[in-house]
Amino acid sequence: MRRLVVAVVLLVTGCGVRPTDPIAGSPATGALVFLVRNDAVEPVLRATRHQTDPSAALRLLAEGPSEVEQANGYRSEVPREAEPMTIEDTTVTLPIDVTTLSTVAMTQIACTAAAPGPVTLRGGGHTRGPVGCPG
Amino acid sequence: MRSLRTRLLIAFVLLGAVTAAAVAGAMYVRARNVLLEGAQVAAVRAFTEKVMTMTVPDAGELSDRDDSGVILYRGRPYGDGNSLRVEDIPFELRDKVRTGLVAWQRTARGGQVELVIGMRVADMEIYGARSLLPEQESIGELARVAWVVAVGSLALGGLLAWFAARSVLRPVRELREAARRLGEGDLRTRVRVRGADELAGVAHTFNATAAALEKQVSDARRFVADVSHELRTPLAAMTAVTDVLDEEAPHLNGDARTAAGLVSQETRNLTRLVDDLMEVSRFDSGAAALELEEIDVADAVLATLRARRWSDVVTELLPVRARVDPRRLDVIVANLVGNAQRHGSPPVTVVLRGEPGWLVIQVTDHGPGLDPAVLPHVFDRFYKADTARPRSEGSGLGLAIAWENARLHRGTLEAGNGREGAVFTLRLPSGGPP
Repeated sequence: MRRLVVAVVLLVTGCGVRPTDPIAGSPATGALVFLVRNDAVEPVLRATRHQTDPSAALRLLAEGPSEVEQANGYRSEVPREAEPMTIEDTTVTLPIDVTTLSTVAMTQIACTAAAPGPVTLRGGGHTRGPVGCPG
Repeated sequence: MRSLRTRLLIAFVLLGAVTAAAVAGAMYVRARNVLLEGAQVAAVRAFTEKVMTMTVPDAGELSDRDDSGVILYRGRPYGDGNSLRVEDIPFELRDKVRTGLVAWQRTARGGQVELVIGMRVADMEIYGARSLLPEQESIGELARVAWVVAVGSLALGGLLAWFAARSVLRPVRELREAARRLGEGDLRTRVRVRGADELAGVAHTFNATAAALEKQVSDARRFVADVSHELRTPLAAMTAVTDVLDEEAPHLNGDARTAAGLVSQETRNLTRLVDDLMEVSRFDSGAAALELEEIDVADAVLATLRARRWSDVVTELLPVRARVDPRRLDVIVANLVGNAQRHGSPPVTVVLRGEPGWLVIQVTDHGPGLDPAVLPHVFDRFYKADTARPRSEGSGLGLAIAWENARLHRGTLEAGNGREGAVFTLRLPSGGPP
């Protein structure tokens, strides 16, 4: 009798669509770079093949806006020469003199670096920042 | 106690129920999982592709009739296209998404189940929710079909089981009926042997046993018949001699006369015994046949009494006409009245009356009546009610022959006790045996 009850309970609870625990799939791809539109720094999604870390995102940032992004009114103040940038904790090291960077470009880099706090920029013997990312 | 058929039926139905539940249940679970997994994989792929083709992060692009979405930047809603509330995203899913994996989870919200999918790009978390209502409906339909199939197959199984149990148990029922008939004395009873299974074996054994029994009984009867027949010829000669002895007896004296009388009397008794034995043998072998005539029963009874010179018998005879065998009626009445005169006290009364379809003859004496212990055996052959009286004038077969004759007419002969003494009641169908 008890076995029958158990069977019925299993049968009833096994019916329908029930909630689950989270199920993990493959690693998320894509990168978030920050470009300038209407004088504001805004995030833009870039499709990537693999999971993208902040330094890869910074490389994408230095490449400038794509044609589609330009068509949508995006521009970048980060020069192409800023590549390669390396990031260590909250410090980003550039191969150019950081004093040549505009404030907007600095904000772009600080946001794209996705660091846990305000970012310090270092390059060409100078240090600027720390710069926070608004928003 | 449950019958074999009920037990078989229950076993069959239980088996059917378990099988149907297992098959339908397994199919249902498998189909449901395949359906859900397919839907989820498709939804996750559609979600990631939408995110990848998005340039400007806008949750509005994730939303349509069935879907809703939200984009969080550093934990806070970003943009103004958000259609999914942050509170509706389970914490454990957000934890999983923050590790950098695409993750999804089924959640229940207001009785509806929806699939929430999430992924993280840098500091941005993107979530989409998709209602699983179409899948829920499909799965509900699946469950309904599974139930219908299970219940239907169970009913069909029960019906088949009923027929199977019936066909399996039919030989058992036939055997029971045959055994009952055999016990009632119909030694020609046989059962039909079907197939070659265990029950056919039992039927075969039953038939062999019945045949052996029939042969034994018929051998014994034939022996009695043969003995009786063989005794007839010498008896006929002896009867002729006793006639001479009877004639000569008055001229003899003393012991010789007594001896002659004794021989003469015993020869007559022996002749009657042999005649009765032959009559019984004819019943046993089935050779006894009715010769029906339409007669006036009252006349026939009076003729019987007159022929035996039983003038002291009291009669109350209503006019009844019936189709009976007059010789056998004579035998019955003579045996009943003779028995009453031997064992009861006078006066012996014979009452004849008619009932619709029946003639009833009651023979009553004024003796002490029948001992209740004797009643069931009163029609047995050679049954002696009084063992202290080893010899009676009768052959010991008279009542048995009367009973057989009544049975041949498809009538009944019953013994009982009335107010005065023993009462024998004969009932014969007045239109002949049906």
